[in-house]
Amino acid sequence: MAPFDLDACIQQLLRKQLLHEVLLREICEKTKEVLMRESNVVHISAPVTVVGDIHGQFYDLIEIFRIGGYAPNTNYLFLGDYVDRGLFSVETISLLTCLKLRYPDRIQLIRGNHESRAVTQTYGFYTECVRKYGSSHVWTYFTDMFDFLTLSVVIDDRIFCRMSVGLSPSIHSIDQIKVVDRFREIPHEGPMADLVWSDPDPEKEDFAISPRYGYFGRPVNLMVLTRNRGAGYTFGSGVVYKFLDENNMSHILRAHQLCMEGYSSLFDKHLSTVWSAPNYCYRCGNSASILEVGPGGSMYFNVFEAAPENERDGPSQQAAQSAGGKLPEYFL
Amino acid sequence: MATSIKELREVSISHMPHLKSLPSPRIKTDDDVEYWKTTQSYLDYGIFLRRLNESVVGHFLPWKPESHSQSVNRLLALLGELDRWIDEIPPLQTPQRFGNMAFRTWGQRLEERCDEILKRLLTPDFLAVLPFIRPYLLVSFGSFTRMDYGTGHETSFALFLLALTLVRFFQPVPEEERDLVLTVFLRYLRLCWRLQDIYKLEPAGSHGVWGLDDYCFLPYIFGSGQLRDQKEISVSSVLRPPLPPTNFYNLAIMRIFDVKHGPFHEHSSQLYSIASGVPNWAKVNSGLFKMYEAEVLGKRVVVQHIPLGGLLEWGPVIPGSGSSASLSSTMDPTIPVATTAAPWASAGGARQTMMPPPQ
Repeated sequence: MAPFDLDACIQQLLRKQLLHEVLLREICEKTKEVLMRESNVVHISAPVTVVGDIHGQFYDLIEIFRIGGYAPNTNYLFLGDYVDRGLFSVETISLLTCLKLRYPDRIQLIRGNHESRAVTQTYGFYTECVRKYGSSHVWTYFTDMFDFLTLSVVIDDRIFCRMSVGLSPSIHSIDQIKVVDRFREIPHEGPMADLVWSDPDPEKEDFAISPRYGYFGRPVNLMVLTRNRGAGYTFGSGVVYKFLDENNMSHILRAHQLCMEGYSSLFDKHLSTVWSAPNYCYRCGNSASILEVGPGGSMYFNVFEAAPENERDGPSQQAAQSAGGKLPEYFL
Repeated sequence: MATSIKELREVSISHMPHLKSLPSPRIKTDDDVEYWKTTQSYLDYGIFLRRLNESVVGHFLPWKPESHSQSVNRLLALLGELDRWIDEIPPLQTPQRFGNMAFRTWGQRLEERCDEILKRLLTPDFLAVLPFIRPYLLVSFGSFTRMDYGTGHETSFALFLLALTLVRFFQPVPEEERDLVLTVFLRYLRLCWRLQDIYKLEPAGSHGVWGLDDYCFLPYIFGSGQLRDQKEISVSSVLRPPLPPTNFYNLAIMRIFDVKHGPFHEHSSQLYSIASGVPNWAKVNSGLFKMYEAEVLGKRVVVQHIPLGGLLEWGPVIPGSGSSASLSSTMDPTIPVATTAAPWASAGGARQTMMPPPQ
């Protein structure tokens, strides 16, 4: 294939126009080569703007660039969960992939729990690819590329970032993350699953207190790490402080949980959650934020609301009807 | 159509002490999901749902029967009590990440008082079934850890009703089944909406625009069942709100209009496609059964939290209780069921197999 014009691709995607699937295959292949060279723990420097879950809310991704600045003028760290649920996951991940390929040192993409074959087959990305391209090829290109995404980023040797906080009984140190074999589908269990799934629980402030609520009413035992959602664990402040101490970090930054205000801080502000999908699923009424980390260690949550395009008919209607408007096979 | 409905087997209450295990989460892998589809409990659930669906065809809301059975009255009282707890446990006014922590207090009360309210529901006659239905009730209102609610929790409540019907606390006859849907399930639905609103429960594992609805599925099945055999209300009528609250389908769609912002075809693309592309309610109803089986019951991430075992057996289909566990037949009301079992074989056969050896 002839060399392609990446800048033209980015411009096309910013207008919310899909790229040809042959082009996407090439872009994903090239991006894999870039990602392959990254460690499981990528070290970067501030200033950088950190973005949480997007979930195919393309208009809101554009809103992020409007308020946070466009690449490469602003450095971005995306924490994952680019796809599923929203109507425009293909446009979202296409744009982010092109930006990564174009500016590999200014755009960092971490793998979220939705960057997985199994999860995207349930939560929409697979369906969207088939609806928009008529086959699952594009889904295959992207999910193959997801296997190469890094698992975590450290900013200025002190802020540890990833999708979920990813603490688990088998991960105590950043060095242990470095040796995980990440080039694979996210498994159901084990360290790699925990890295993308685990959540903190503000009620678990004390290491010694066991949580009262297990699934199905059974008291869970006194492990502060508790089995969570599809996989992973929940954990309390003791686990967080221990991890920060042992790894000489001052802060953990993650995404993965909806926040009414767009962000939340726990455990005396040693752990932050950044959430970047406003009015999640068109109904939650939540704000969103991006976190601007300055060179002096400053942290500013830039809060924003849903982009006005979300409320409009017009061009989006056409897209919705050609993309989402096809009758599901169950009704044929 | 009614002639093709399978009977729901009966499990005598006297067999409860002999059931081998208590319900617990059994589904861990995709293979487990495939195995579940071959089990007796899956077959029972398919038959039960289809019977509920058939019972409401042509019956609309508001539903005012002359009387409810004692069992229905007691379950309504139970749901009413759970609803009153919401008033007694107001949401915390302190900043919350999203879901309100007061929901955990509500959940804690449910756990603490579960046996007590179930004893009142069951009366001494059915007390033996308590440990086999308790886990389903506890999972019916959302996750108290994650403070979310979704179709897995809704399915758990339906399984709770199934278990109570297997032991004949509820009778599997059309009059009572209709009341289970149009009175009991409606009461449950309103309670769940209130829990979602007051405590701001997140959609659990929402499929977003690619799913039918963030929180529920069964109202669409029951609603399309109610509308199945009539022609006055068209499938596309739901695109022209406000909709009269005469059926579950309209109730669920109006709820979406209440809580979602943005163009309907965008945030609810599946419902929009159904409304604009499916010619009649019978097709909607049969399609929703297929979709429920594939998108809810067939997804490990949804069903992995559902307790199984005990009364809802985690084991192969009991001979005589149905032709097979192939649910496309029990799930799809438009496909007549060819049963090879003798009419008397379903309940009787099950009872014989489940009869414990003489003590």
